Amino acid sequence: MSAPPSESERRGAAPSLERLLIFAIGGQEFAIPIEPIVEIVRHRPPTPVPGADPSVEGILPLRGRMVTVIDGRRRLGLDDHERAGRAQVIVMEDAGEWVGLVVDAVARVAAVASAERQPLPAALGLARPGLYGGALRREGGYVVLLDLARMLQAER
Amino acid sequence: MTDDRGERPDRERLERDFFPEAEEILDGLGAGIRDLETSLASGRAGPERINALFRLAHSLKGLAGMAGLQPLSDLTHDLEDLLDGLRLGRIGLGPAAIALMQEAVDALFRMARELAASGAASLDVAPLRQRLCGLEALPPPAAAPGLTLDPGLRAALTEYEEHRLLENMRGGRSIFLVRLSLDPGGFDRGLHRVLEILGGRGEVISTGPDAAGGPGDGMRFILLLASEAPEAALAESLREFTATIEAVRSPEGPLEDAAGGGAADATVEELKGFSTSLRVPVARLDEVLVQVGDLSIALAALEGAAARAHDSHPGDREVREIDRQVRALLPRLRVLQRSTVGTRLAPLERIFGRLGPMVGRMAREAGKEVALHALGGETEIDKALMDGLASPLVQLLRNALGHGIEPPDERERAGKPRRGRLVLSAFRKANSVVVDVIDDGRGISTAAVRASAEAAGLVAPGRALSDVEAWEMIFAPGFSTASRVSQVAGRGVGLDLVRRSIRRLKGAIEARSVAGRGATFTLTLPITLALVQALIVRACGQRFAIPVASVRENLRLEASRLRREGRREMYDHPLGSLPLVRLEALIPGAPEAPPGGQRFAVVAGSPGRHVGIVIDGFVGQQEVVIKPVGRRLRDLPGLAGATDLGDATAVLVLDPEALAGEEKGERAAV
Repeated sequence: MSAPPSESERRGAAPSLERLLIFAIGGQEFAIPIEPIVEIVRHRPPTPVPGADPSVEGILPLRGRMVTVIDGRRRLGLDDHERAGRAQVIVMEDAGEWVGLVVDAVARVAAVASAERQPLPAALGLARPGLYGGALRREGGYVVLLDLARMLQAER
Repeated sequence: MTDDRGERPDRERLERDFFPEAEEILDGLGAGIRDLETSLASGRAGPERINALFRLAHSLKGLAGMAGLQPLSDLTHDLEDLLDGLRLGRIGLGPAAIALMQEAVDALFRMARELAASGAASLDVAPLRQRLCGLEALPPPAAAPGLTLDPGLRAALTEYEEHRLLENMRGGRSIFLVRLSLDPGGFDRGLHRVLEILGGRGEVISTGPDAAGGPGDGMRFILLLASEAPEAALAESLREFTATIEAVRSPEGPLEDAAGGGAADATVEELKGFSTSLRVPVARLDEVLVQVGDLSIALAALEGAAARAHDSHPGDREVREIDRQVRALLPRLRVLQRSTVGTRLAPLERIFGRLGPMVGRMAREAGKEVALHALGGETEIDKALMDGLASPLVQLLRNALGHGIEPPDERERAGKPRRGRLVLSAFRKANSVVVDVIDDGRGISTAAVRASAEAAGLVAPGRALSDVEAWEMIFAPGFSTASRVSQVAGRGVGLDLVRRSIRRLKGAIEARSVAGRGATFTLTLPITLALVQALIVRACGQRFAIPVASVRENLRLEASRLRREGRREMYDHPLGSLPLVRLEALIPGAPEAPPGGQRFAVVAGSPGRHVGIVIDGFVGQQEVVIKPVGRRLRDLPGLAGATDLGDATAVLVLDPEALAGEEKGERAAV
């Protein structure tokens, strides 16, 4: 599902617009602000850590640091089915630490005006509604805005 | 070192604790005053400059006071007073005040340099101090023409805010009253944002709750703003908020001429520094260590590539040369890595020195007579570990004073000197630092420990306790809570917490005692958590690192010696029964060990609490940089961190101490 870019997406970032990274997990498009993003890397199996949250896939070394890798599917309560071969890890800085979110595919960067945000349509039927901060209407469907702070919080 | 260090010059202490920071502050003061001077000449002497100088002077006063440098502290105090007067507008800011401040900073520099050179400051600063205090005060602020601010609001301003208001009016800026209503749910964030916006367009003189009704129905605030921006522009900048803006004074030209304003083009002599050390934030050292570690990983990858090229082109001279050169780089990088870690180390003397006076005070409070002897203060340890060590050491000393050392009369009756003896001794042992806390008090009575352990339900009634078991029992969590009983036993107050803090530092603590003669608490800590020798092993399809410091031996497991005890797996070791830990059990979905395969165990942990970690094989031994795993994972038991051995895969570093603890915990639960 790849919507054609809207007017504002094509124009790029004007000062009043927020820049978002749009990516897909399980056939649904999601978006997060680009500011905390450090790097996007190809997914490779991280080292599992005993006793970790079920949504924590493990840890991965990157540029001299350890990245805690969070499985986007499991975190969002989506089907845990076979991951596509081109999965990517969005590495973000969170309070001085690096956290990676595994997504099926990174789509694009978009500039979005705050007026475009709207409440999450119930019709999307997403599990764990607490993780979302609204949605953007796009041709062909919705892009769901993730509440990053909640998303990266430990489950327990 | 001993606590009676009358002979010992404090030169070293000053060099370490005072000079570097004092030099930094004095440099800051000197630069700040020069800056103030130029800004005054251009008519823009902002309040934040004076505030910054005031804070610097305040820090220096505290620093000098702590170092016991009274003359320096006194002079700084007067400088601080002068700056306070300036920021409150009690004293006019002009060339006279600036010259005096420069003179004071210069004198402070000279005193510090004299101290650094000869250990004493002879400079007489009394005349200067008199002149500092003698600067003429300004008359109290007069009326403020053209200001239509509600008198009640104006009366609520602090002296400093009032001064800033007048100062801004003198500067010809308009004054605005901003009333704001913020959503109670996120008002702090909203307020922060508003202050940020307005701060960028002028000076927010005061912020307070709005008692009179403002707009909207949220949390109401009232702000006083000085700005050169037109009202409309300010209103526009706040359009996302519920806010009103009202000009309470328009710029009708400056109130009056600001005092002074002559640009004395004084050439301030550049002073040579007096400190030979440099203060560096630990975070910056960490960053360097990360970079060096990263470099060594890249080099390991290069080494692998060179080795493969060598294998596939065995006869090629060029390839052989590359291989050789790359290999020569590795040891040099190790040296670099080690010296980088070395910059994080600091002598234990820093806490030992602080403990001396504290013990004296605690002894007086407890009515005991004690001499503290500190040995091996020069032993170096990672700054982070040292910081973590301070409070467990204080607790151990407090216990020794409170429950170990007897009152003087009781000691006399027992044939001991009235004055008790406390020894802090530190030494380096391989990759560890060992700190002994020794007292010559009552010691740990096994019978008394047994009794209180039984009272706390830790020991079945009637079960005998060996001395070694008793020394271990005092660290049990339930034991210390029975404080009334444990005091009789001589020890045990908060010892479980002490052990927990030491374990958090990846260290161990044990107790030994001769009843009636005293007790020794031995703390073993790694020198650093940043770089450790580790055994690399293979188990359940992945590699693990185990710090060598806690490894006792490597075992080849014999099937005939394995047996089960409930849920636990035990091994009949010649030296006693050994609980086994299987890493498969910790990692869900890990492949089962191949049946009948050769298996080994690494025996690790501290004496009395060993575990055998079952592994498939050994990979090697090497120095690894332990990296934190982040707060989502760091509290998991048995995990000390992770490392990267050079193949872009994380390898978990195990913490055998904690694994052994887990094993014990399970036993209690079974």
